[in-house]
Amino acid sequence: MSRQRLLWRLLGAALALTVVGLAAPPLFRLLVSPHGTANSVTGRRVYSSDPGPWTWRCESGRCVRALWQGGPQVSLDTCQWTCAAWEAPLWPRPTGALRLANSSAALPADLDVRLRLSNPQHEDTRDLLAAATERLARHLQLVRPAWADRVACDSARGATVARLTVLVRLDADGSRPTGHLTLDTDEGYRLQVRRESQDLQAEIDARSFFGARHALETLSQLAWWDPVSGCVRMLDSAIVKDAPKFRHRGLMVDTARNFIPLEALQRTVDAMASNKLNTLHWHLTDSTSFPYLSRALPTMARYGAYSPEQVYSMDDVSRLAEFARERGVRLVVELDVPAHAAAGWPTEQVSCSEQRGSAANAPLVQQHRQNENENGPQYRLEDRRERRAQHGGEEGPAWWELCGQPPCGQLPPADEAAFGTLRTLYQELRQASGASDVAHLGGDEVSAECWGGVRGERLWSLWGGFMRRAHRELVAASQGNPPTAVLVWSSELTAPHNLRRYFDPSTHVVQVWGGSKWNETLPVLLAGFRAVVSHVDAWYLDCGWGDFRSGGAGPCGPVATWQTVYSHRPWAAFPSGARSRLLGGEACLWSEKVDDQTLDVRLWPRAAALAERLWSDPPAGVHPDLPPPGSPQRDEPTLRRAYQRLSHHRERLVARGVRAEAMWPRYCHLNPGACF
Amino acid sequence: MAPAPPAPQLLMLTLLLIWLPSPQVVWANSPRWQWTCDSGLCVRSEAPSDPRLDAELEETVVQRSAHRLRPPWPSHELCRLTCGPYGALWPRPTGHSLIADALVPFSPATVRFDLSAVAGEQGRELVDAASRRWVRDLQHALAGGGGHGGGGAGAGAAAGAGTDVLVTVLTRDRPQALSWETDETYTLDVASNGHEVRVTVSAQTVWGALHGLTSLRQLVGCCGEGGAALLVAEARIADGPVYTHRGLLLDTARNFLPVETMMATMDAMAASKLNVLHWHATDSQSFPLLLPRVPQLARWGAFSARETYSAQQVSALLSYARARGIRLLLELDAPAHSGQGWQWGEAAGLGALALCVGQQPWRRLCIQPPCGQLNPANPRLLGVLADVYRDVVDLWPPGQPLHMGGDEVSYSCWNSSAEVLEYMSKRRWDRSQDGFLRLWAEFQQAALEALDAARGSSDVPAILWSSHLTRPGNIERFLNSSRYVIETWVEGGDPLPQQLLALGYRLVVATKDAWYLDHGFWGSTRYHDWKAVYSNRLPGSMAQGVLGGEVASWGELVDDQSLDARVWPRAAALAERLWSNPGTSAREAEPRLHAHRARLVAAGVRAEALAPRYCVLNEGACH
Repeated sequence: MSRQRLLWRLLGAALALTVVGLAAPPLFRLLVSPHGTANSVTGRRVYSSDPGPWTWRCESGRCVRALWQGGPQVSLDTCQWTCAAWEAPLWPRPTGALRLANSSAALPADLDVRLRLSNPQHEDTRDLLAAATERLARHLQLVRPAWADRVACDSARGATVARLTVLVRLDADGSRPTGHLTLDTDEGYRLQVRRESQDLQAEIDARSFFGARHALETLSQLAWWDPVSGCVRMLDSAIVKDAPKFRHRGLMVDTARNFIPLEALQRTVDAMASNKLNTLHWHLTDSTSFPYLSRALPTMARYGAYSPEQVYSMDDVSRLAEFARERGVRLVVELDVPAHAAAGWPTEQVSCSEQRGSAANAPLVQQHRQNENENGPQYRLEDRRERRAQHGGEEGPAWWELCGQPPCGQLPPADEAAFGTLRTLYQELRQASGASDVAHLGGDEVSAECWGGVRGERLWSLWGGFMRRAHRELVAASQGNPPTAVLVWSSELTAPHNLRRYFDPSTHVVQVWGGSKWNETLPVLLAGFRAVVSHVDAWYLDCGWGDFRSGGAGPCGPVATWQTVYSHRPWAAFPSGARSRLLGGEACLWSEKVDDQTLDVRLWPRAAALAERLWSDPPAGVHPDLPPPGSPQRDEPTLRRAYQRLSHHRERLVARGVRAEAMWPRYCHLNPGACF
Repeated sequence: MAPAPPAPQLLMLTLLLIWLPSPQVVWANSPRWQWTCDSGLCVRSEAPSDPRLDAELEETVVQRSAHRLRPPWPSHELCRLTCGPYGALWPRPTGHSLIADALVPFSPATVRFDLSAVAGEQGRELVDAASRRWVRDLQHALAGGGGHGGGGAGAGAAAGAGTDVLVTVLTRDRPQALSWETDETYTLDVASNGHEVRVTVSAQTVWGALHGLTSLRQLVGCCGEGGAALLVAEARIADGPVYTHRGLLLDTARNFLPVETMMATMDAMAASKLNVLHWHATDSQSFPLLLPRVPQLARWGAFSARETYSAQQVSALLSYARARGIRLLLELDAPAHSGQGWQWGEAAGLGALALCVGQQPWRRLCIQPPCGQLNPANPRLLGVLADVYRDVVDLWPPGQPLHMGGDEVSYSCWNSSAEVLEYMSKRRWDRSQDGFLRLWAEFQQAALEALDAARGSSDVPAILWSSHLTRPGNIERFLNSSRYVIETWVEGGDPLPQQLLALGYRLVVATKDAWYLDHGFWGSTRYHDWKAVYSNRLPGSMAQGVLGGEVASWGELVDDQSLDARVWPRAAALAERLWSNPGTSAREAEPRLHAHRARLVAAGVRAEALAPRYCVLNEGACH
């Protein structure tokens, strides 16, 4: 009985608190209609904008949650932005000077965002900058959560601005376009934000459209939603000097195992731009499907696409390339040859396309993607014919006797018609994708069995000869503007004994995808070649979800967590000469078990972790620019210091419509440092 | 390109002009694939290009409503519907299953339902609501809800065309509360006669009838002329589950899940004949349940005021679940896994309700931050728990078990509390494992009594996770087998389930190394793909005391952004294991699971792809 009474009293106290809350915002804020009158329909507390009973205090550079007991209430985001510059949720972290004020201004819903150029620029640059500024304005709108669209901003809490003026000063010849991204493009920028009364001014200095675009991206990140005031706020004074550590910061998406709609690719490019990634490597076709609807050779898609609507026209490719360019991303289209080609190609131009599904388990499927094998690359396929005999073979070879993944298929080593087809396709795709200085020839996983069991030198010369010829077709298709960085996947052909025989260090770039413990990357660099890293055990984002085949060896795995992606830094011990030839890296998403339904959750936030690795490349251990001596965070590993910022960035991506995965329990986000 | 197509392909051209991004390209010369069923597998081939045969085939595709469509099929989806004894059914029926290889076109909007033979007004209401959902969901899917290929532009617009479909539903019992004893069997008959298709769903209970309607949905594909739906022309199915507890655990404490997300998940569960949503509502990280009697728990324990479940929302979830034949099984984990939300006791004069809350360094005191464990030495804790239970009893239908948690108690937390140690010494319990075990068991007994008191009944069993308390040498000292069902979460090879069965305990099985959907993303765990989920066998039959099993989507790394991808289609793989308990392998199941995955996607569930689409379109080619 007494217990009962006590609980009633407790409940009463809770209600009293509620009433006090109504009188003294913002313990429980009232929902305010657009006309500014309190919503009295329910009279109940409205939770949508209640910042809760907590406040956050900045203690030694870290935000600590505490019970709010009067005084100014501070939301986590406001604390995070104003506590310490090295904890400010910018992603990727700027590499140069970073000075952030601890004051902010509220941005109204109808913020007037203007672009001004301080010196004349080419029309194309102007258009690109205008588009990027529109994107900034859109992203500032998205900072306010959809559920809070009727929450009024309490402008009494600090300054409010009416305008955001972006002033861009490009140190570039105004008569020439700067919107063509090359490996030599300077992507650096300097951004300065200051407030003069109702005006927020952002001054941007850069040498190309791309640098200026990155500055706008950083600027868009300086805003956050503050549930205490109900306002979107932005730092009102900041200086950021920034430039990437690597020039090739890529993401590869495979649209051949499963089709991915153009809108999903655009969404992906948009998210890449939010992370300052600059290369979308489009693995367009494979043996499974040929979704490219060529203008000259539409029959290939007719036979090779999964369905008439699962295709990309030349216009689609152009549209995506232009969409990407506006976002600082170059599109590199890969038609993988000579292996990984079957669907869509005329039967007579494909070797070993006829094979049966195996009723027996395939006991020895190619080990290429098996990173658990640390002995180095094993490019030679097992002789599987004996094994077929052991399995009581049916008529004809099974796929696993001929290639690593069904369906098999490989262009013949020297078929003029196939090369003619390639040239036509290259022409269209170069034209549609904007004739970048970077191209990709594919060239991986050639099966000796598929070419009739040729071995050793004979195989290499056929394979190498094919790659040379394909390259010639690419050059011919480029009409006087050939790519200067032609990527090929690492393979037996790029091993030291073959590399210089078949490839040219001034043109070819090796995309190294073997296990990170294999001695593969450094020899390529030491041989004078440039390289892009995509180690299977760190940066293959599809690994770990199991194999779609019911037989065969294990697929690659385990899942590379964002921490694995982030911590991967194979170049740490490279000599500086070799290191200078490393263009950067790519995370790869092969689509055996991915389509549009799960594209986002596979990519994000792991590709964001990659982005910071390639843009900022923070060293392990103590970072000289980071917490000053004496701060408790100074001795924390770099990885640990990334959690809180990435968690905020993940929320930013979600607000921008990207289905990024959760990184930890939300408790950990709300209590910085509590979950280590 | 020349715009003039050959006349017979007018239909195809019309559709393609709508679909194609580049209107000048005409697919007039595209190959027409066709599929035929061979030994239970749909095999793709190129349709004959002879114009005469073309015309014939065209006629097959576009023929008028009165006629049945027969193989070869113009799409893989249609082939799958009728191929093999189970067609595209998921989970596969446990009784007989005969599906004719003929389809009849119909328009979902014109389907009539005769519910006069459904027992009880409530029963009729339930089936009426289910039939409306059936039509709506089908229309949504046909309108291109995300499916691949062969999709129907303008689907459902085939007004007037098509066959009349009359669905008669018969049930014998008035609807009762769902329980482990509910009869979920049904029979489904489809018979065509000229211009009419008669469908009969017959079941003991309305819950069986709902499963029958779900199966009927799985006999429908897309699309005939004008986007008309196509229904298997003749079918006879008798079906019922092997296990009665077919569950999915959702964790809303590590990360919050909005009510709408939980509802969408229930739709997918119903489509897969799963029937228990195990709601791990609270944990040491948060307490999102906004309970009328004890709002302090959410006030202190929710991540934010938005991330809560009000009593109204819980009621809405309960009725949503019931309408779909799903039990919402609430878990309030105690005494461990309780921290955030319980901090207010001292300020309210109740003493410490929980101990070690948020203490650092956490590794000394618990297995996962933030720490927190209820304080069994504080008698006022039981008063608060009693109010929590009263709220639960008020909200839930009578007789529904509560999952009381009971896992991973940290003795080191209790051992760090002077209050607990003093209490133990008063009870003359030493600080040994046995002493803490007695303390824990005493708390569990008191909590159960408080729950019984709130209910006014001590007949309803409670569920507990397997733990130190449920070890074969301990369990009989502390937990009565008539009062407790144990949910085992050990690895597949562990003898615990058999040991507990031998002691007479009933079990729900959540095999950790197959059915924990969070594995693969932390520590040394590995992802369990759908084949691993499917291949995991239960440790015994219903008769031996195994009620069923659950896949568990623990929420540390999941919120509504990625929930679907984590759960589907793996939860569907579990559904067939528990409903059908097939003796065949995942390979047999794969083509049907592809079809089911496509249905889930069409219904808006972001289920993972299982394989390259090539393997979907070429059954058996990827083994």
